[in-house]
Amino acid sequence: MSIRERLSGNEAAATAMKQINPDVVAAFPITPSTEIPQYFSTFVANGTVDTEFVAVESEHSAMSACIGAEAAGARAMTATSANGLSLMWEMIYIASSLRLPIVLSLVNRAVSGPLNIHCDHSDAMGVRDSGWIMLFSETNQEAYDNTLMAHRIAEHKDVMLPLMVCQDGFITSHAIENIELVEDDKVKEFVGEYHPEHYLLNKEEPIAVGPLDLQAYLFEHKAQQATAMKNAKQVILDVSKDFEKMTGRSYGLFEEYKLEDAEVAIVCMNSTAGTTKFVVDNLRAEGIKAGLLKIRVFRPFPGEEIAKALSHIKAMAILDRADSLNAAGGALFEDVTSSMYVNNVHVPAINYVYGIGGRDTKADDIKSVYMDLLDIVKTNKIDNPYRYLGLRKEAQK
Amino acid sequence: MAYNLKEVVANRPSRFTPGHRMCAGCGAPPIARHIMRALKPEDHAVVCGATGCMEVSTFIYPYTAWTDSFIHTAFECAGATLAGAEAAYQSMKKQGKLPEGDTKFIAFGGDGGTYDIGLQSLSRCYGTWA
Amino acid sequence: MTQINNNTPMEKLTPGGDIYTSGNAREFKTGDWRSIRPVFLSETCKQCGLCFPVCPEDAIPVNKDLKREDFNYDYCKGCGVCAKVCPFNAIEMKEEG
Repeated sequence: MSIRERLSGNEAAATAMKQINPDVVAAFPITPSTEIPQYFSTFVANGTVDTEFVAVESEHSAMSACIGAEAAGARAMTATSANGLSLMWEMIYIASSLRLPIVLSLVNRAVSGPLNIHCDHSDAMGVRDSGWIMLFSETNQEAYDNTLMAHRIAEHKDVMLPLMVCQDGFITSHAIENIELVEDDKVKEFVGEYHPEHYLLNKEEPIAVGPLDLQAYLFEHKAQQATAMKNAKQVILDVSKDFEKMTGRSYGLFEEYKLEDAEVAIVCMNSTAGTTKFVVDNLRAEGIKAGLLKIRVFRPFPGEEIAKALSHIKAMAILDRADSLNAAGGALFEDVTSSMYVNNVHVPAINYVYGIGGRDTKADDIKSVYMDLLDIVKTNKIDNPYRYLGLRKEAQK
Repeated sequence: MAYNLKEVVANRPSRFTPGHRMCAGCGAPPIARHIMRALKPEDHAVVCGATGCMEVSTFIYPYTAWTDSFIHTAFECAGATLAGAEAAYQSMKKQGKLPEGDTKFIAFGGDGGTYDIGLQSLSRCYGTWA
Repeated sequence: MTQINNNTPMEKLTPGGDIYTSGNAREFKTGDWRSIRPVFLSETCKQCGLCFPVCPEDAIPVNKDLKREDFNYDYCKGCGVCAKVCPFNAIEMKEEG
């Protein structure tokens, strides 16, 4: 029997870490993810876990220490947000290129500046090409579940890539929700022990990690990373299936919510999907065929599967909680639309940048998106595909 | 006890091999080699090098001049990287995941990698070991 | 491992560029860097022990009798530091070729 609890998203992530019992956690506090290492260091102090906690002086060192620990043969975990991830950025690329399956809990927050501690996805979008697997979580439950699945995915021999579990800062990280926890012994059995093939602390086979990789080799090593990322897709599905057997909770690459017969659809990630489901239900009650595609696996990007799932839609909106400032559209918008293009699927598409710096995105905002989509279906015209949702502007004359 | 360099060199195998790509006449390789010879022969070491000529010249894929385990990550974080490896050692040792015997941790940083760009990471190193 | 070279396909390269055969730089001979060669004059040598500690290439072996032996030309890059430190002119630098 699973355990019914009520936990904040941060508590959920810290609880998952406790149950995983990693060998090393190196972390530096930053709002809104501070509580994760804070709760976890309590577990360490109480002797609940076997973990060695490294209280580093910065996030750059947090990731450096995780790299050192993971290369040494340990399971290493950390947590951060926004500027913390920015400071880690150099080491984020090194972690994935050294093929170290570190697991990071990313509580999404706006990257400065100006300074803002609230939710958006600009931190995650800044590392989207870094070779990390990126899972997004709508609820505390999903943040917990994704964390429990993380090591099985990251440490798979066909993958060996670091993984970050994302959740929305404050919206889920600080909101207490009902949650179903898995028993400790079941988690232990599910996650399993980590036995790397090659590691620094193996004195029988001393190894060298992190070479100077010149013109003759770096290209091939990068292509190996790309192959591993492609492999990750099937591994994620397999691990999710095993997880479903244990918990009854089903996860795919993305969630289709009333999408099958939908005419208009929204694509989004994290907590906004919850608001969108509420709006979809209301619109359905009015007879409007609205649907949602919620991305869980952002890296590897399931482009082909998404294109197929959206192929019957008459108009769609992709919601980006980060502006790419490229005068063309957000990152998710570009990934979705380019995937549709290369898979020969044409669906009229618009992009909304929304929720920047924790700006509240209400049901009415989401409803207005569906209304815009219905208008596009009717008129077959898109004036401007790159739009803002909930932005104050002078009234149009 | 007097230190007899001839005896040390004659009797302790080098843990820093030739075949590295440091410039002819460079002073760093003899220093690294002598430091590595200070280890007890039975001890294993994890060495971390900050990015710099010492590191790139001794570890050009697919060759390493280090007979012990070696890790390089970036310019400014040899201290933090090695602190992580050492934390792994402490943790895994405590849990009985490692065999008997000692592992030593040695970071090589250049002047910049240590007390210029790497000063912050050096503070981490002190935090762990002080 | 050591068969890895410029023609090795990506599938055969070690992931992340890890090297599992520590100390394999020995297989990379640097002797061909040399343009001048040190010549060891064993009769002149007093075995003072100043030359081998400064050799960057470990190219001056010391045997169990604590005596230095002839140069290891597989690795000697011809820097001439040994000749410079020798107080007895027991090492002579000569043009290669």
